[in-house]
Amino acid sequence: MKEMLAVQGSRTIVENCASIKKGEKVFIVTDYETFSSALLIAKAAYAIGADVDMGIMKSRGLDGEEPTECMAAAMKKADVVLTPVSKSLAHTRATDEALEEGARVLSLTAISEELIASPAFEADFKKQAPVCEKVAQLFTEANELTITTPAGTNLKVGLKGRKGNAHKCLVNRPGQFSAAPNIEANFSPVEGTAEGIFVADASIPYLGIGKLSSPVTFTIEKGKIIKTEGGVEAEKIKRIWAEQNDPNVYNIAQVAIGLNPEVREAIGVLGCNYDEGAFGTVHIGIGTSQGLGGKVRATTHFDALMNKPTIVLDGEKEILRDGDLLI
Amino acid sequence: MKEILMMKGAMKLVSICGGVKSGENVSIITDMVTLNVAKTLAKAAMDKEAGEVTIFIMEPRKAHGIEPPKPIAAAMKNSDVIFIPTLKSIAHTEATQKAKESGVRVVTIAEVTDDMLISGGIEANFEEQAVITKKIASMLTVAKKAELFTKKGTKLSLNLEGRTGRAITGLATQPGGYASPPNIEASIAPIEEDTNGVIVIDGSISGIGLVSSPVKIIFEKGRAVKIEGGPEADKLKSTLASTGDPNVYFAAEFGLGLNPFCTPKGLLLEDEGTFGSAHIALGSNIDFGGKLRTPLHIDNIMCNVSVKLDKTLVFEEGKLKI
Repeated sequence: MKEMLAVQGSRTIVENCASIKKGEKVFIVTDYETFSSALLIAKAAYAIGADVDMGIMKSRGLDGEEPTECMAAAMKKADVVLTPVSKSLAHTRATDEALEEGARVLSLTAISEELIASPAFEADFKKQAPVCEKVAQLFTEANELTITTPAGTNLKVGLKGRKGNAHKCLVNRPGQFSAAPNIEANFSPVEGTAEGIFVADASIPYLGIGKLSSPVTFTIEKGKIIKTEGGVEAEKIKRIWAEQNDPNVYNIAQVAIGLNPEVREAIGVLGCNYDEGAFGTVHIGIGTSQGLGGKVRATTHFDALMNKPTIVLDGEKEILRDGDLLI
Repeated sequence: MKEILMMKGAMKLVSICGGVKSGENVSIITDMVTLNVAKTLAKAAMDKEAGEVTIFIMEPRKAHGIEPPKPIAAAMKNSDVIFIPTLKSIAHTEATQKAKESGVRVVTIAEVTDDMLISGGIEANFEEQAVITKKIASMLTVAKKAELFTKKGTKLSLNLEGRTGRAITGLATQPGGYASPPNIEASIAPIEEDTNGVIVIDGSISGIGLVSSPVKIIFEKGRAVKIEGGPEADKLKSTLASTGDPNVYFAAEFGLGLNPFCTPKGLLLEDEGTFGSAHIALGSNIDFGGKLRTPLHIDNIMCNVSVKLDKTLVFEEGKLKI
């Protein structure tokens, strides 16, 4: 009966986040593990008079893995695509192509009744949008950015010419992408510019990891991870990378600040879109950067989160101090 | 627990009718009413170690022959095999046609019910029955004239000259192949203006169901000029009239049911496939060698028929004579 608790959240997804209107063609991509949550969202969309079709596949093995070919073909023919799935389709060719065709795409990775019922969906997404846009604008204008954290992060990246993205958890225009209930501002660093160390000490809400038992330390040279150290989580990441046999999986693809005011902590159990939105956390995306303004396509994309980060733009403008937003 | 009983039928549909091989990508197109059958077929496909098994769900179409939504039409072209267990048939749509042209094997099961996977036509040996079906289809191709009789008063003559018979075997094992199990039939589009006589429908009328009393249709120069009977006759008349299309009155198809396990149940594919039955359809025949494109295709089924092709008696009171 826990689906009862997710009824309101489902309506928020359909009406507020995806702005679905009566008569719109909605295509819901789901998998055999997340079908019950997808059904709740389908019901909410059907209730307001949308044309709802669903596609169900086996859940993908890895985040960022392409959906089935027939699913990708279907995704291109809808006004709105919702993806309540186990493993992220956000950074796939299928999603990029659906966006190019003008679909609005709302990514709902690691969906569950618990996530839909969580306070994250109680955020006032419209009210938070200007904050998100402001941070994205600062990214667009900046040339260089440094991140430091108490756990030992000291990472410098170049972002000259890169556009900041405001993922406001709102998609209301053709070709717009967001992930729910995540609110974040992000950019893709210029390839080859990232240098330094970052220490993930909050969570890695992908690859079946979640909350970290010990921090994972990544050493970066010329935009790529050259060393990964830590406990069992670090070993797991290294093993998965080795299996991919793809040099692009080490790419520093994304820097993002979480901006959902209803999420105060990355907890590692409600999936990436809960943790990544945790207000005042920073995450680094690793792997594919196409779709964020970067040029790299890899077999996977995942994110690693840091607590209490400080971010300085162009060596002088502090926008985040120990996790507090200064704008 | 009914799913367990359905599993055997689902395995037959997947491995025999669809010929699914290990590693092939399978899509299942269904609607919100028939999802249970789709799920059972998906399990069977996974059991056969199919590559990707993707289920697509749409709102049930309002009538047979209405196109699926665009996302689903697009998906249909991108698989090795598609199964279409639905309430309303999308067999005669552009989406299905395009999928077949792309080399996809298509198995449609309209008006499907859970029970259809448990007993009835599904119990047939489709591979064995394909032999006689192909033979009768080629006899239809060769024949110039067909005569149809029943004890209830059917007496109809049809001109088949130059038309090609088709064998619907329930097997879609070749690229672009099409099947609609449990139906097994041999059928042909007769010359449109040359069907004359009377049929007495004692089985069912597709979209309407089993007839409570026989429905009589008189054909002159290919067209139904008079329809008589009980409530089903009235329903048929109003359905035909509602199209506003004069071509829906033509006899569009002459089909012979060849599945020994089918019986008329008011379900399209069980009824059409009933061994020793014949159906005369009204409406479209453009997709199997005729000239008529109309908004509908209604099969009228009579049981225990006698059929003569030129001088050869093929059926006598529902029994095969060849």
